[in-house]
Amino acid sequence: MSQPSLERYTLMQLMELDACTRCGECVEWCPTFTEKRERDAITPLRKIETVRGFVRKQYGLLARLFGPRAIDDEKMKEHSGGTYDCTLCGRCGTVCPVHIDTRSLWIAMRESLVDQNVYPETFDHLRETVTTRYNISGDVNDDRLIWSENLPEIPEGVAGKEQAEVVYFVGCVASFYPRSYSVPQSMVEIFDQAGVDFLTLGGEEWCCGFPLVIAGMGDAAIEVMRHNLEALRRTGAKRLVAACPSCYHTWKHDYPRILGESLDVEVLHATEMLEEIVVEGGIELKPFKRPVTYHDPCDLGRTSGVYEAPRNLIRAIPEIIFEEMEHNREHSLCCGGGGDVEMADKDLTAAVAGRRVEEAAATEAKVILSACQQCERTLAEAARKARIRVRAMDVAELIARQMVR
Amino acid sequence: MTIEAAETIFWVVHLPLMGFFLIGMVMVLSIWFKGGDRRSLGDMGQGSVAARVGLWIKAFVTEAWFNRRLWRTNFWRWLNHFLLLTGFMLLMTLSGISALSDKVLLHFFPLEHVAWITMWVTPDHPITGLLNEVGGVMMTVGFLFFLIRRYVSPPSQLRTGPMDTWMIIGLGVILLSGWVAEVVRLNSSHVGPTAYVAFVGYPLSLLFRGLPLPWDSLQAWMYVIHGLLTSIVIVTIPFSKFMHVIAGALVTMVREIEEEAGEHTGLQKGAARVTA
Repeated sequence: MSQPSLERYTLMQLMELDACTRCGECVEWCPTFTEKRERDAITPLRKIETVRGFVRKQYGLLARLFGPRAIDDEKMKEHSGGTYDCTLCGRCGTVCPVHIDTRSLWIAMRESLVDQNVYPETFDHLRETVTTRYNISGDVNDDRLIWSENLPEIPEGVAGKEQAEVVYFVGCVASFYPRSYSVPQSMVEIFDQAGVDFLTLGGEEWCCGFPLVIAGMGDAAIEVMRHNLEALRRTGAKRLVAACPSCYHTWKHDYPRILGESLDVEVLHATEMLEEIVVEGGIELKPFKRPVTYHDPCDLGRTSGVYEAPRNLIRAIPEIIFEEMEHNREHSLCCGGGGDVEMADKDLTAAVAGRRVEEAAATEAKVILSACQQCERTLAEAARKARIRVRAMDVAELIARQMVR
Repeated sequence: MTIEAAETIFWVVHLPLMGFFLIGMVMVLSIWFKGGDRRSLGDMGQGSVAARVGLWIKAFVTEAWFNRRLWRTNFWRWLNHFLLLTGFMLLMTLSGISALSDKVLLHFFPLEHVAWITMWVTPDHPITGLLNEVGGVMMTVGFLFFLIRRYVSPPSQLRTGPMDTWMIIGLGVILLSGWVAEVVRLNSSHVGPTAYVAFVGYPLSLLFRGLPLPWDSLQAWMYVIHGLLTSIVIVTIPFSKFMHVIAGALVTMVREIEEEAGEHTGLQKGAARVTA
């Protein structure tokens, strides 16, 4: 086992390790620890304390005087387990009194763990799949538009254009998981109805790299990022729209940072684009008289700061009854589907999602809306398991359904 | 022991201890600077140097000192933090001004007639006495809240480890020795007519005044003991949880400035060192 390098951490992150006051505020807000109270290694507080201990052993005063001390393999494995059982929801960061940017810190920890070869084996499979099949499911990448095959009419933008104003980046989950097909179907129907000049990249769309970045394997994501950026530039598009919050966040924040260049393209989440279409009168909506609630996807809300666009969209639907859940916006509960946790621990994801669905049911909503295919999938599964009669749905699906054609 | 002898002992031990403290801080900084993305903190914020300094001061006051996020999250924890930090900063500032006045201004310049300088080396001066008392009381009340939260009614998320215990012991011995030193001083023959401004220490000193103790000699001893205990705790700052006082303040200030400049906006931007 190699020794931890500090190169994976920024100056600020190393400062943050010392800034933690061990107040435990983060522990109370951690959705995975809530479900696994026996696993103290999951807690933000313990992760920071452990890494600080490693740093001191390797670089502290005693290490300088007498040489670095070895790190216990078991402790390292335990830390790795805790770090990879985190959904990266970032909720801990919103309550930290010293403003520690926890999500970034957890990713840096994962990068360091990958360097030391102490990470769940399943992530090797993920890396290989994304870098050789160019999607997360391992399907043939040229089948990316399979969701469009049962559309009553395939818009020209789906497969017939090489240049357009807007690129719709579909994302792996919506492209390859049948349960999510209705999201891209809804998106292109809305675009078509509103007269948006758009196209999709088809087989030229590769995984955005997000799963690798958050797995701590961001180095492996550079190739797919470069490919996607080149594919985007060939279209001459001015805007890129992603319905997946993780793709959106990666394009908007990680591409410029990791590739070290400005994209010169406006990156929008689907809800931002749809809000614009609805506000400008691009489509007309029919009334929807059922109570709904909205679940903030972590990568859209806390991580990207988009809270109001989906809410404005929902409120734009005539006669809709919209109730917020107890925890909303930056304090929203996680659905459990983030951080690649499901790859390592399906039960944990299910437990976290179950808690969110219960909160949705408490609002008496019949529909739990979200703006993320992964959230929709985990919430729907949790509702089914708990036999709670609430339907999980993407905002785009509801907009398409209520659209006057 | 005379006060002069006590002072000599204090400085002879205190200065090497502060040397160790500085070595510890250099070590911590050298660890921080092993990290990537070493953006100069001086480059942060926008506008002129004066504007940036203003921004840093504002960030310090609103986030590090007042800590708005803690205020919104938990009032009792905020009060605990505010009392401890404000009391600590007040006492440290008064100690600094006192040392500056005594060892520099009055030592090198003929300023004995300037009242607003001599007042800082006169513990019973109404302003100095009152400010020191307010600082001590704030820290003590904050410390008691801290003890109650950690040991009497701890919330479920709290974990108490050796680092926390050392912090409590460190703060506890400083506060306790400080109050003992205060009581001893107020019972010595060096006390002026306005000693009553020490609104807690003075009534406390009256309780012990009848004891047959060598107050003047004890005053010198307590000066050394309290001063050196404080120095010992300061030496441990870079190696203990006390470091959060410095690192936490810096992190909150940087975040606030980033958010003001629209560079962070509460977003968490992902990995650290992956670059093409």
